[in-house]
Amino acid sequence: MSPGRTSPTVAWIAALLAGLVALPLLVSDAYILHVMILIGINVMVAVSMWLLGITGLISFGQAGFMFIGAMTTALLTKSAGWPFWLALPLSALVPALVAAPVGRLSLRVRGVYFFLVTLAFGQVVNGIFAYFQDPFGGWYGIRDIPPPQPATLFTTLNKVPFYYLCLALTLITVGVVYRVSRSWFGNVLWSIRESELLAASVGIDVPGTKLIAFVVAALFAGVAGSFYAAYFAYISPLVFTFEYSVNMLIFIVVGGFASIAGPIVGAVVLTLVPEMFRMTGKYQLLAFGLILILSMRLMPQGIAGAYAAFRARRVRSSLPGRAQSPGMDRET
Amino acid sequence: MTLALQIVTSGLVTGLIYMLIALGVTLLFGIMRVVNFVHGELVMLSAFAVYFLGVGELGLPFALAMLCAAAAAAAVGVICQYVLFRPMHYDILNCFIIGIGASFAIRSASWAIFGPEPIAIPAIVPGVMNLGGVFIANQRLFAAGLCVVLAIALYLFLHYTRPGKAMRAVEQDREAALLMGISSEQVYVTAFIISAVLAAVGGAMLGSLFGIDPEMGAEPLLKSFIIVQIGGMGSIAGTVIAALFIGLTDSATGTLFGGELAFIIDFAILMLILIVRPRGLFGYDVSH
Amino acid sequence: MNVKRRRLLLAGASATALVATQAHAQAKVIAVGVSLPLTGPGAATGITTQRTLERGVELINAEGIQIGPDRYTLKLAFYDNKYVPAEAVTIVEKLLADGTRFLISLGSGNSVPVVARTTAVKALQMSYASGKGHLTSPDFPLSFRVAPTNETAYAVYPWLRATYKDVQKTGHMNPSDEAGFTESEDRRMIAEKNGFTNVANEYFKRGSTDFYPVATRLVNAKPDLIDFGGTIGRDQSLGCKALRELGYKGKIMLGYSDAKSFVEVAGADAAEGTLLFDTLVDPQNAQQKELQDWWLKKYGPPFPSFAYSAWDTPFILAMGMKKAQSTDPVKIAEALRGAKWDGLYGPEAFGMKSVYGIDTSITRAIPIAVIKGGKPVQLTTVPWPADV
Repeated sequence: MSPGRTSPTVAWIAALLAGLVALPLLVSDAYILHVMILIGINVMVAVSMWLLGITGLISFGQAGFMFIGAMTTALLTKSAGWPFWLALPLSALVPALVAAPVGRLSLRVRGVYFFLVTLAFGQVVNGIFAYFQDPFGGWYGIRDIPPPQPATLFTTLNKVPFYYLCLALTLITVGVVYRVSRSWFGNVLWSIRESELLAASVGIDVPGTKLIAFVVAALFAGVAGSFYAAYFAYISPLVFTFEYSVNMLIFIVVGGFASIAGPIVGAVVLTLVPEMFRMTGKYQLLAFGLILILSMRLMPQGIAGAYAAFRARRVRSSLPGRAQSPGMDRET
Repeated sequence: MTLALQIVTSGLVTGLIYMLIALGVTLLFGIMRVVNFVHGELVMLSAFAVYFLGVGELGLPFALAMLCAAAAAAAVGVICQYVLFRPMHYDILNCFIIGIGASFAIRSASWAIFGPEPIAIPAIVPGVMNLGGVFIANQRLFAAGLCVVLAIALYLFLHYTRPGKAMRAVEQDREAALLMGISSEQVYVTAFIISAVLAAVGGAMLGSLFGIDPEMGAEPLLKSFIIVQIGGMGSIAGTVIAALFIGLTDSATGTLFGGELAFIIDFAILMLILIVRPRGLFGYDVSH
Repeated sequence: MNVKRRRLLLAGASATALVATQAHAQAKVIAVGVSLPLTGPGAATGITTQRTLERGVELINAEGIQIGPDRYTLKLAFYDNKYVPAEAVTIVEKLLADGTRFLISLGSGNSVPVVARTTAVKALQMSYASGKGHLTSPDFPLSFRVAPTNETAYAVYPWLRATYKDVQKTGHMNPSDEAGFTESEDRRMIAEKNGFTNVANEYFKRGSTDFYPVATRLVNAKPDLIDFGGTIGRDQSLGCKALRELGYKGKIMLGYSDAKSFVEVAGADAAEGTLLFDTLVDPQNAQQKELQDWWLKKYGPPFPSFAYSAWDTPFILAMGMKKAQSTDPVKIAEALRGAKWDGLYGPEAFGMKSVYGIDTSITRAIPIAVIKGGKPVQLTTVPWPADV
C-alpha cells in the first residue's frame, strides 16, 4: 500500500496527465499513437483484473467478457446501425449482466478450481462466437465495424481522436478502480483476500462482495472490448484467446500486485517490450517467456513492488498495515 | 449402426492416448497441486527426440529411441522442478505463471531450432484394420494398447511399491506423511520423473499419429487439464474414465455436428462438473 | 509518489527509444515491409517466403532499378504476424510510421484487415491470400494478389471435368476461417459450373490433430473427389491420412503444399494418388531450376514448392517501378493493373477483371502434380482459361 498522497505525488500525476494529453501535439507519428492506444486497452483490462485480484480471485475469463463487449458494439453499430456512443454503455452492461449468473456459479468453487472455471468460461464464449457464423461471424470474425461518430473525425487516416477517446476511457477506468480500491469497499476486498474466514466472522457478505467485484471487472473488460472493436474495426475469436487473458495476468504479475500502479506499469512495460522486439520475429515470444520466468524468480513483487520496497527501505520507517505480499502468495 | 460403432471406437482409442498425458498431469496436480504448463512441451520435445534418434541419421530402433527420449524428458522434468517450481514454493498460481513463461520460451526456441517443416514418426504398426465396416488404424491400436499397459503399470506402482505408496501418502496428507518419515521432496522428484516419462511416451505416440511440430503440446495439455478436473485430481481411475468420456464426446460431437462444436462441448462439460461436483468424479474431497 | 515518477520516466524513455528507432527514408532505397507468419500456423510457408524474397531482392539489387537518372534498391523488413489479425494491423502501423509504402502480406487473415488502411494511405499491397471482393476490388486499386489461390479452381476444374470422366460428386474440406470460407464458396460454385455435384462441405479448426470426425462425415457423403481447398500444412496430411484410414477410396486434391512433407506426415500409402494443384515438383524451365539449385545449395533439402509461387513478387514490383518510371505507389499500381510479363511460370498477367471488376489478380499457368509411389510427380500444366 502506498503511503498517503503528498503534494509531490499530485504534482507528478498532473505532469503525467499533461504529458499524455499533449502527446499528439508533440508527436505526429501514427505508430506511437497506435502503441499508446494498445497500452491503454491493456491497462484497462489489467486494472479490471487487478480489482478482482485484490479480492483474491484470479480470473481467466476477462478475455471472454472483453469479447462480449466487443461483440455487442460490433453488432449494434454494424448490423443495427446504432451510434457508437449508445453502444458503449451497453457494451459495458451486457458483460456485467452475463457476469452475474456466471459469477454466482463460478464463485461456488475456490482457488485453483475457480480459475479453471473462468478459463473454461472464456473458451466457451470464444467457442460460441466461433461456431455461429450468423450473427457472430464465426472464426471469420466481424469486419468493417464502423468507427464512432462523427465518422469524419474518426477516420482511418487520423489516430488522434481515437487516442483521446482511449485516453479518456483508460483514465476513467483507472480512476474508478483506484477510488474503489481505496474506499471502504476496497478495504473489504483486501480483507477477503487476507482471510475469508475472518472477514465473514465480522459480518462481511463474502460471496456477495466477491460477486460485485467479479461483475465490476467484467464491466470494465466490456468497455475495453467495445473500444477495441471500434478502433480495430475487426474482431474475431483469434483475438480474445486464453493467451490474451494470460497476457493480462502477466502484466499484473510482472508489474506488481500491491497497488494499482502494478498493473499499469506491467501493461506499459509488457506492451512496449514486444514492440521493441518486433523485428526479431520468432524470438519475441522467447523473450517474453524468459522475462516472465526471470521476473517471477527475481522480482516476485513485480516492478512496482520492488521499487516501492526499495523506497521503503530507504525511508527506513516501518509502516504497519497491509504487507507487500510476494508474488501472489495465498493459502489455498 | 456402423457410424455409431465408428464413432465409439475412434473415440475410445483417442481417449486412451490423451489419458496417458493426463495421467502425468494428475500425478503432479494431485501430489503437489502444481499445474505444470511445461508438461505439454515435454510431450513435444520427446516427440522430436524420438524422431531424431529413431528416424533421423542415428536410426536407432524405436524402443531404444523411446528409452533415451524418456530419460531426457525425465531430466528436463527434474530441471524444471528445481529451476522453476521449487523456488516458487509450489504455490499454485506462481507455478502456473512461471510454467507459462517456460512453456512460451521452450516453444519459441523449438521453432527457431527445429524449423516449421512438418515431420512425423512413421507408424510402428502400419496398416488399417477393417472390422465389418469400422476402420481403425493399427498404429492407433498399438498406441492405445501401450497407454493401457502404462496405466496399469502406474496403478501397480502406486499401490504395491514403497515409493508409490509414499506418493499416495503425501497426496492424501503431507504433514501426516512427514510424521511417518516420508520426505516429500523425494516424492516430488519421483513424481516429476514419472510424469515426464508418461509425457515422453505420449509424445512419441502422438508424433506417430498426428505429426510433430513445436506447437503440438498445447492441445493435449489443455485436454489433460479438463480430463483431470472431470476425473478428479489424483485419481487414476478418475483420469481413465474421464479420458475415455472426453474421447467419446469429442468423437461424437465432431462427427455428428462438425469439428468446432467439440471444442465448446469439452469446456462446457468442465464448467458443469466444476460447479456441480468440484472434486470431480473420483477426487478426494478438497476442502480449504 | 515515486512509483508515478518511475512510470513517467519509463514512458519518457520508451517514447524516446521509439522515436530514435525510426529509420529515416534513404534517398535511393525503397523500403518494402513483409508481414508473414514466422511462428504459429503457416510458419513453414512464412519462412519459405522470407528466404525466397530475400534471394529475389538480392538479384534485383545486384542490377538495381533504374528510374530516370537514379538507381534504386529494395530493402525488405520482415515482421512476424503469428497469423493473428491484430498483429498484422500493428505491423502495418509500424511500417507506415517508418515511411514504408510497400507491403507484401502472406495469409488472408493478415491481409484483409489491413487493406483498407493501406489503400487509404496510398500504399501498395501485394498479398498471397485467398480473397475475393475484400482484397481484389475496385475499392482497393492498390491491392494486388500475387498468388492464384481460390482462382486456381477456374483453371483446374475444367481440366478435371475433361480428364476424369467418372468423377461426378465432389466434396470440400476447408479450415473454418477467412481463407477457408472463400475457397469453399468459390470452389463449390466453380465445381457446379463445370458439371459436378457438391455432396459435402466440411470445415475444421485450423491446426486440429484429430481429423476422424470430419473425415467420417466426408466419407459418409460418398464423394468421388474431395477438394482440400484452403487447407495447408499439416492439416492436409492428417486429413488425407484420416480419410484413407476410414476407407475412402476416391480422389483427393489439394494445393499450397510442400509435397514431400505431405507424403511424410500422411504416410506414402495414404498419400498415393493425391492430386496437387498449383504445385511444381520438378523445375520445368531454366529459371525454376536455378532457383531450386540455389535453395538446395544454401538450405539443403527439402525444397518447398511454395518458393516457386513466392519468387516473382519482388520482380513484379521492380517491373512496375520501371514501367511507371516512379517510386509512387499510385503510379506503380496503375502500371501494374492489367500488366503482362514473362515470369517463373511463363507468361503471367494481372487480370480477372471479368470476375472482380478490376485486374489486380495474378493469372498464369497452373501446374498439377500427383503422388505416385510415394513421390510427387509432375502430371501436367493447365493454361489459364482465356475467358477469365
